Amino acid sequence: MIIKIWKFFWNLLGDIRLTLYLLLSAVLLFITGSFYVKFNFPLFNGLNETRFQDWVIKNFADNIGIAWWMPLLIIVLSLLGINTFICSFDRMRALLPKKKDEPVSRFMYKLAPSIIHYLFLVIILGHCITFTMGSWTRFPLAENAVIEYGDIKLNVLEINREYFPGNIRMGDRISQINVLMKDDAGKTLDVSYRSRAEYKGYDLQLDMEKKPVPQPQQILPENKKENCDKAPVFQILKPENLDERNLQLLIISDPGLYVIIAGFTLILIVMTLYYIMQGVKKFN
Amino acid sequence: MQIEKELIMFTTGNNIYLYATVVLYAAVLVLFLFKQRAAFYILLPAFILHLLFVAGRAWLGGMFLPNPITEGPYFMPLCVGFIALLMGYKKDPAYGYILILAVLFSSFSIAYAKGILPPTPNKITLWVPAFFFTENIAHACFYCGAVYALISLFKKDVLFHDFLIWGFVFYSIAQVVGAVWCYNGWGNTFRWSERHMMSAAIWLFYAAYIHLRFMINWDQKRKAYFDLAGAVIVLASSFSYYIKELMFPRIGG
Repeated sequence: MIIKIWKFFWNLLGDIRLTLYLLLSAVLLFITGSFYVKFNFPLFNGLNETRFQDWVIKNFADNIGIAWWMPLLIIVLSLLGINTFICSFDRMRALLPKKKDEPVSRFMYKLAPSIIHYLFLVIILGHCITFTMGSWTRFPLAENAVIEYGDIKLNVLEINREYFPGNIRMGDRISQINVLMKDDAGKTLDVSYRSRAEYKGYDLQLDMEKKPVPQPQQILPENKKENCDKAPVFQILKPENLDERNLQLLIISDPGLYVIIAGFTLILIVMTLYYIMQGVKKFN
Repeated sequence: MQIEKELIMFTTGNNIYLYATVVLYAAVLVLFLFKQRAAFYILLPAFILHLLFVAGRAWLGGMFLPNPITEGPYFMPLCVGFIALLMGYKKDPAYGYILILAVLFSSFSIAYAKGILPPTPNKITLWVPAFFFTENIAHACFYCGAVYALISLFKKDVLFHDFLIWGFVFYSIAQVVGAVWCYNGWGNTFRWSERHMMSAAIWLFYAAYIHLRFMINWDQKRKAYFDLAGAVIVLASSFSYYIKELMFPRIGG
């Protein structure tokens, strides 16, 4: 009896038609969610730097009218994961007995879609780990500032800004910022944009504060002497210390990152080999 | 500066190459309706002009930056032109219809804001052009697939499946590359933002298309309508970003 019930749910949850319904449901929920996120950015932006369960506990009950789609999305994606696993398992179970009857290349070609599906599950698992176990903490950066977080204590020694050459259109814009820091043991860390540092199991990255930057102002000079040229002469003032206002250090702990990267890399390799073999098969 | 003036002429700061491209694409489209092979020989110079225009955008900031080359409103029409060229080379009888897209999207480029979006430090990385390169090729494949899907509703022997498969492959690569860029730039591989969520929606939509081959009651006609719906989602999503980015300050335009 239990085995019959198990088989019933196994076949139900592994049905290819369910795959289609779940995929389309996920599409609708992501599209719906994207509109809510667009018009409630400050609320949902918190999800990017907070554990998912912490955000839900803090925000969901008070914003259920805006966030109603989230539990549905989680359920749909969970069912999709189960469906993917069952479909792939059933296919592998059907293929493995035939391994001896076919050339290795042909067998691997048939097996590749199942491997791709399992790797997709690995990527989803990595994202789940990130969403539920990751941490992101920001500190404003300035020279001589001290960053203290958990067992991290860093002194900011120098902030060096590199600019594009002044004689081109990109001139005077920041091309890179290098931040030199030192811990109590004398170890130095160099963090810059696009080049993060690893320290005590954390990733250290630079980021900018997300708020509008005052635009250069145009003013009339005072006490301008009368002359025959009545056109006013404007001066452009740049806000002082514009660059220092926005720089932040982002301290990240993301245990799911390497799971995701591994999944992505392997899925691309397997997909590439699959489509090459498909091309060779068509050619032959 | 003299060097900058020469670069501007090469890059056609007055966008003459783009205007000529649109005219030539339109001419090829008209000629295609009467003489397919003759049209192909005009398509090649049209594409080369288009390529020169798009490649020249790299110097609009006064120095070489790859980011402006792959900016969607300009690069995606180039991808469509490339697909038309490829299909013409393969003597596909329906390749000319892709040029309807090339003319429309290139015309949008003419109307679009000129100049480049000056990249912030976290966007001065090869992951950025790699992401937009693969994403725009994917979008072009989806659009071309939609054109062929529309034709297949009237002509039985026109197949659109390969466009969508290649589009899905490139889009998957874009998601991987984009995730690496996102982490390096902002500390997450996926962000709860409109952009990322629409990307996920599009990826899942075409993943659903791939699984339609296992559905007995999904014939070619139903798949064509499915494909058209996907193209509408991609179009609405990507062009809403293009219009939003019209408001961003630009240089070199």
